[in-house]
Amino acid sequence: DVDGELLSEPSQTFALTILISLLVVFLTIFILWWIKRRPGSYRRGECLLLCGSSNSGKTLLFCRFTMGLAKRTITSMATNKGSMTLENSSSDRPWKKIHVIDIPGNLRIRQRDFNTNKSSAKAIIFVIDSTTIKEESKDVSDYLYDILREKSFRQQRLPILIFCNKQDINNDVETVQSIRALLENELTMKRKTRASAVDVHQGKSDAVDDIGQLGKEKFEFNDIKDIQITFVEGSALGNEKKSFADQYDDEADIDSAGDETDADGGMNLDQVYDWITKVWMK
Amino acid sequence: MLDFFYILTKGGLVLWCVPSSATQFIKIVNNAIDKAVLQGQGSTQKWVTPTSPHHIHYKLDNEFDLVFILGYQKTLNISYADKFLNEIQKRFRDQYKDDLTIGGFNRSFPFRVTYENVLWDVEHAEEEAKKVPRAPRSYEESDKKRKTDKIVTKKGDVAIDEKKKKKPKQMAKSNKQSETNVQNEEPIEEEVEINEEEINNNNENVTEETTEQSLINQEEKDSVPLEEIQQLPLSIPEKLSALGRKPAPFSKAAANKPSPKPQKGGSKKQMAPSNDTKNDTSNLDRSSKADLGKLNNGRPIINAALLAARPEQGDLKTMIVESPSLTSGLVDGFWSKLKKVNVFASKTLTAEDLHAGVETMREHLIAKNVASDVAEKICESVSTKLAGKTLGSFESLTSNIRQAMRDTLVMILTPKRRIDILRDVVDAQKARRPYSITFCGVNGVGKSTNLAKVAYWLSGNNLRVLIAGCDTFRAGAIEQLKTHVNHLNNIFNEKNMQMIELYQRGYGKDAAGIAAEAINYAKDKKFDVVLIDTAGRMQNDEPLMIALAKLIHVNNPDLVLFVGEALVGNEAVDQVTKFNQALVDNARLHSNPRVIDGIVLTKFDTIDDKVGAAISMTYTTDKPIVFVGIGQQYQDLKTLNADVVTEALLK
Repeated sequence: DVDGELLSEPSQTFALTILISLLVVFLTIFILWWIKRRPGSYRRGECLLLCGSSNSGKTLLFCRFTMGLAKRTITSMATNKGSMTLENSSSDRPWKKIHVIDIPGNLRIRQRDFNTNKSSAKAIIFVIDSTTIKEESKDVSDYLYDILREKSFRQQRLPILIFCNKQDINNDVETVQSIRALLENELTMKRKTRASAVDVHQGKSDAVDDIGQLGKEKFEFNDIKDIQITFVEGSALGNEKKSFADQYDDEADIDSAGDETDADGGMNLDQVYDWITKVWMK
Repeated sequence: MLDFFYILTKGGLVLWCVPSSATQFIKIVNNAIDKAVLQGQGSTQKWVTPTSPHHIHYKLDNEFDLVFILGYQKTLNISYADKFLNEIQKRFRDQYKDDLTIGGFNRSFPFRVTYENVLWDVEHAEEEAKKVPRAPRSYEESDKKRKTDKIVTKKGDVAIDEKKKKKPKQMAKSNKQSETNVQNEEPIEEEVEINEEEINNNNENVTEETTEQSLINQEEKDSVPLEEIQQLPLSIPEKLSALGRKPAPFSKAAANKPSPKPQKGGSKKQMAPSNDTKNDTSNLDRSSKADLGKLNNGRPIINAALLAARPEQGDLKTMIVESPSLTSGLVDGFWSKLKKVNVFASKTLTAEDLHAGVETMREHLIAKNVASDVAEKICESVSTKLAGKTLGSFESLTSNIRQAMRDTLVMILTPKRRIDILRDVVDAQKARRPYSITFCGVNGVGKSTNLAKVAYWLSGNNLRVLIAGCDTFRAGAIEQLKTHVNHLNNIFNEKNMQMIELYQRGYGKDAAGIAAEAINYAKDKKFDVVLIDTAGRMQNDEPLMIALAKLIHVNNPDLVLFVGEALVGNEAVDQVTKFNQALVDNARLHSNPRVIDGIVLTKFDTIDDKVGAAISMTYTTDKPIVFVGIGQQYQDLKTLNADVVTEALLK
């Protein structure tokens, strides 16, 4: 019948369009859901991680990188994520955008945040407070030990910069060499004690071999072949102490005694920028 | 006046602050953030700093990830702090909404004018409120009339005698006053004072202050305010519940009198009726007597609701979040997630949304053997963390609550400072003295057994261990330790000298003296570690607690470990609090009283997944769990795995 055929055709196409539109809608929803599932995570290995114990100056460093100025900072409660642009006139790509992630140093949240972000690390800056390193050497070396033992870092030969911050404070501050020696001592002892510590209950025992050379008694940073470690010193605050005043609208209240540090002798971030350029412009 | 006020981002940038230059407050703010915000102990959004004389209030803005924090001197009585925080948060958001949404923090925020306006407004509103209830009341409304009525109706002598007998010491003065019952001015003056206090109290109670907070504050004014000791909201309620059981007119008359303690700040002085049952709290409710329009219901009666809503045994109730027809458990599959989420609208979480889900979490925690007040506080801090947060599309409420809960629990279980015994032993060796560890706890928790396990572990690391038998009370304690020493020496018999030795002086002697001698002996014979075993004692047994405090303060061990069993429930909080308090109270001449440094959680293999005791103990003391005992053999000693315990709690 002609009537029958005429009737069935539109209904078929009608059903087909419904089906297709449903499929499209469902697909869109699915795609959106999949994207939302990983909020804010960058592609693997693209970011610069700032790690270190509490009060070492990571957030200030983050400000200097991403905003170009120094803001007053307090203990971080959450990670800071931002991006900096790196200018390099000598290479063919004049400037590059680098994502920076600042991980809070507080012991309680540090572990969780570090684990969440470690997969997106391309390079790590480990910030050390040069004025308190003597008292805090155990905690700092604990953290450094954990970082150096990470399997993924060793596989990708991740560059680590150990930045001895706060060199601008005039009272006796540890030099880079003494900090390096201090850390090597601590890590030597840590290797011994960690191996003999009580096991974690129901913990995953990853058979990661230890850092440094196995046979050697004393640990040295030169022994680590698969992670490139560089030591630099400097100050995140240094030159920029005046910019504190610009950020807060009360010139009357500004009282420079005690808040800012004395004049630096070139204590700044030049070495850090050089290192970043080297890593990213390779 | 406020000492300082900071507007921060959660990442640690200071957006605006008053005063702009002072750095002395940065330390205090850092401290407050460390303890109150991160630990989740700031559930009442108020914090009293132990080291400096400040009260700190803070408010989290979860939408833009900001923190508003202010502080003022302890001696002042600023009741408008919370109102001020709310107001200033609103203004700041309104003023800088665009910048905040895009995260543009590098601009300067000229906020000074708004800040001063808001402060002025709030302060003046406060003063106005204070001026109102000055009119003296008529005779009909006064207390005297009510009292005379009661005395006339009851048998006068009986009422007075009962008052004499049962009154706790603090109410002694007011007792006499109620007996005489002659003065006319007294009740009225006290009434006015109470009204003032009540206004202050109520203004402070606008947000989430629980009754326990006022008790904590009162307790802090009594004793030395020390850092991690959550002072006893529990000992005062014991007295108060005794108060609550008295005959009705008596309690009413008694409760009218303010506490006779010297009024420093003026507020938070009353014996807040925290743990009373619903009947008695209505008697103690003073808002009816106060003749003010502003006051509403008095303090929130939280604990009565707690007592009434005990979870049932059996399976977990399913979380009712959006539509009741869906059987949504705490575990979401993809389809149920999809069905429940807000696909297109982004919703801001309000307190009501969170309430049902958080309530279920709280009952779930209690079912897992977490102490009830600890569970309460954890749930409050989770609500605080999530309040005002925008729910993105495809995020469900349950997953958010679950994640926040997981974060809080892992934070509680993660130590603030790592205790690395082997590393510290190396330091002690360099200083040529033995490293001493004391094991204390209540009866029968496994001190001696776990001490033997620790000795086994240390000997396995080639350290020479001396065990000091300071349990001079329990029959067989010394023999038990002798047997352990023999076993262990048989196991570790490589070197010629004994790896482990027992220092004992029999029964009945003074434990502190034996410990001192043992440490000296260890120093002479060059032992590396001294493990001091003490007798078990109940936390409220005064003479024994004094003896323990003496042992610890005289010998000053490097590590004081509290041994607690994982089977304990609500008792856990009481045990650790009382132990800590006893150590502090009986410190005698020592300026730095020792407290518990770490916890050993024993009998962990006997609980399946009811692992809540770990949370209760770490939350109360803020010290880490150093060892976990999972059996009765020497090798059954592990450290805590925070993730595993948290998963078990959330299952």
